[in-house]
Amino acid sequence: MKKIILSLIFSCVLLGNAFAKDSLTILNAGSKTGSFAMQMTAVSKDLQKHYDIDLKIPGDYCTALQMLKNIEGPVLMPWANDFEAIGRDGNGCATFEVKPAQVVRYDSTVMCICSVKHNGESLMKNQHTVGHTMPAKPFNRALEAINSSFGAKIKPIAYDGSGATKTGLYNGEVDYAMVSIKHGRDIIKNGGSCFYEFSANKNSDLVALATMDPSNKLLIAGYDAVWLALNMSTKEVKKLRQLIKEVHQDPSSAMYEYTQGGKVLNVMWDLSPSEITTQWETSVSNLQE
Amino acid sequence: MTELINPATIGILAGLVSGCIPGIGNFAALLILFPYLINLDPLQIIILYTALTTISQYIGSIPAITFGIPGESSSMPAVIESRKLKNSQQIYQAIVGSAVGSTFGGLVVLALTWMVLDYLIYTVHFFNTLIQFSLYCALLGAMILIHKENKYWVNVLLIMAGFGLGLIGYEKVTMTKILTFDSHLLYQGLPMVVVVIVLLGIPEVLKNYNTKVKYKTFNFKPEKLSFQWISNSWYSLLGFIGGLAPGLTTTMSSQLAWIDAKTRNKTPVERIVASETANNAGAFSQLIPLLLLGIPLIGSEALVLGLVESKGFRLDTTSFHDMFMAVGISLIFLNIIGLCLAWPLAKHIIKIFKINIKFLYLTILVILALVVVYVGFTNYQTAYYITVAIALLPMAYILRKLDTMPLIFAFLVHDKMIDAGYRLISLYW
Repeated sequence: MKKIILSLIFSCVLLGNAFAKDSLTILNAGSKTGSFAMQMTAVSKDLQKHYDIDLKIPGDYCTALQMLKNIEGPVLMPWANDFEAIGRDGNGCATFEVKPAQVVRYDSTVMCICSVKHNGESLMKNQHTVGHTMPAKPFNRALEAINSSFGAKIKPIAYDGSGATKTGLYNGEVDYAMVSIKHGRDIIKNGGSCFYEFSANKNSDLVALATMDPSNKLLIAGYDAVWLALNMSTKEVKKLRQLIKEVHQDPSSAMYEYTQGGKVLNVMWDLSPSEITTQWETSVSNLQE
Repeated sequence: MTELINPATIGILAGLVSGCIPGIGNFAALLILFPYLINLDPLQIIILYTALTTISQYIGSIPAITFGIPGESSSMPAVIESRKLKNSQQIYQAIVGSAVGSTFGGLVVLALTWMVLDYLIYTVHFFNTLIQFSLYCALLGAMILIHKENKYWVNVLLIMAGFGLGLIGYEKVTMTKILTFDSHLLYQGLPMVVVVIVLLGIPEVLKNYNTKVKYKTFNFKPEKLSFQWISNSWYSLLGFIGGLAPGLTTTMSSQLAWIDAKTRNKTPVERIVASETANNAGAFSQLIPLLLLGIPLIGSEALVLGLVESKGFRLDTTSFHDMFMAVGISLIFLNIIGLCLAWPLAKHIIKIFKINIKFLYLTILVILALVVVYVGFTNYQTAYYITVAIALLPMAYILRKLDTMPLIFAFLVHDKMIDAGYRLISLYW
């Protein structure tokens, strides 16, 4: 009898181990309700089939980096160029070395200017308030660059997150909102329009501000973000990168829904290590003082 | 919907404890449940909280009427009026009337809100930074005035202390480091759960440790109940309005109804029923600003908001409709369960007072200490959490005789106030 019980327990343990999934801590380094949090929540749902997920949303990158020091197992953590730029300027609480071999996703989003009541021309001519998200300093600088380049009279107003910025726009507290293309689409859906984007893209549907004054590098502004696979072997990084790519392309996934099938987020899957470094460093320096 | 059953059940059980035992209000109940809450989805957290607040309102009336013990602050009118009840039949009438009134009040205001649901979403058009900032100022003002256990100036100092503790760390709007002493650990600020447990949970338990309860059995004999539907509809409405009072919510609901019932020369039983009807209506209306605008009216809501946001979820008009539907449907069931608990099962509920209450408080203290360690462990920062807890203990000792809710509330909402404050300056100056 004793042997039967022992072998049953042993079998259970073996079976349990056979079906056990690898653990993965998804550590959101962004705010609690921002786009990083939404993406980390989405990807944690999508990866649940493959990993035993522990999703952590501490609320800011200062806390996230402190937590990271004590996590020994595999971690997926997003890191943004604005965190890095502020850190390198000496105003933030940390910087983080991005190693291309650890990057499992690289994405880039330009910021655009939208409104529900006003047109694009008025922004350049009249006095207006423009709501923007965090990080306050770089986006404030980008809006001030419009004033210096085109003689506009913009007053930047900082909001804690794109949701709050859009609310400010809808309730008429600000005349325009500086948001990512994803949120710009939401504004258009709610009866608004988008006019300008902070890029040098001549083929854009919107007016690319940096093409109007190429000498002002502050007219290129946006988020560049990397998803980093930490505490993992090369093989594990490769597996995670592949799975993340798959969930982005799976129409039934939460990530597909978030990115609207890749329409609102420019994810670059095929960047070489040197391209990652170059693009990352450029995007960081664009936001630095 | 099945995934909501477990959190709702835990919320009901927590509501039972929170409603019965003095000092273990909804806030303390949430702290005890913290390790469970951090693993729930935002909707599950809201449902648990709804169950907790609703059931604690039902249960709170039982010890208040039977033993004169206010399980929670909104039961004070019931405690005062219970002294005027002459016999066990009147006690029975008060208990049954309160249970029926609570169900009636809860369902009436739920139905009314459901009817105007689509219009509520338009309130966002008025909810600008000025209104937000004014609301937070009103909430802090209310904290100064309503926590009468402390002197006014003490409340002001507590609010300042709460702000001060909240400011420690890296402040992202101004990008400054405040009182971090170059310690990277302090850049993240003081962990919310540690501050709340050490500076609110522990002092509350210590304050109530010497509560004495004389247990007595009652032989309730069922008899016909005369329930005044029209006047209790009025008290439901009063309760609904009172529930929106910053910082007071259900306490304001029950007080408004009680005062109104007194001015109309109602009997003690009717006064109890009026206040209990109103406070359940208030338990519902206090949720509306939280669900609709992400504005917490009381400390426990601020804690819930923090928890929900830690899941990457934003409570606002975009999520309100779905949230309200789930909360509305669950409230129908919760009110029925509350009715059963507070009426046919009332005589069994009071048996909880047979337990040695000191032992209960000691157990709660141990649980609170374990919560600090557990949450620290799950956040990979056990040593930091324990160190902060130990560092705050002397402050908890100094504040042990005070009501520390103004401090905790200021600590919980300081970042939202600062955010709105900065925006207000850039908008108007």
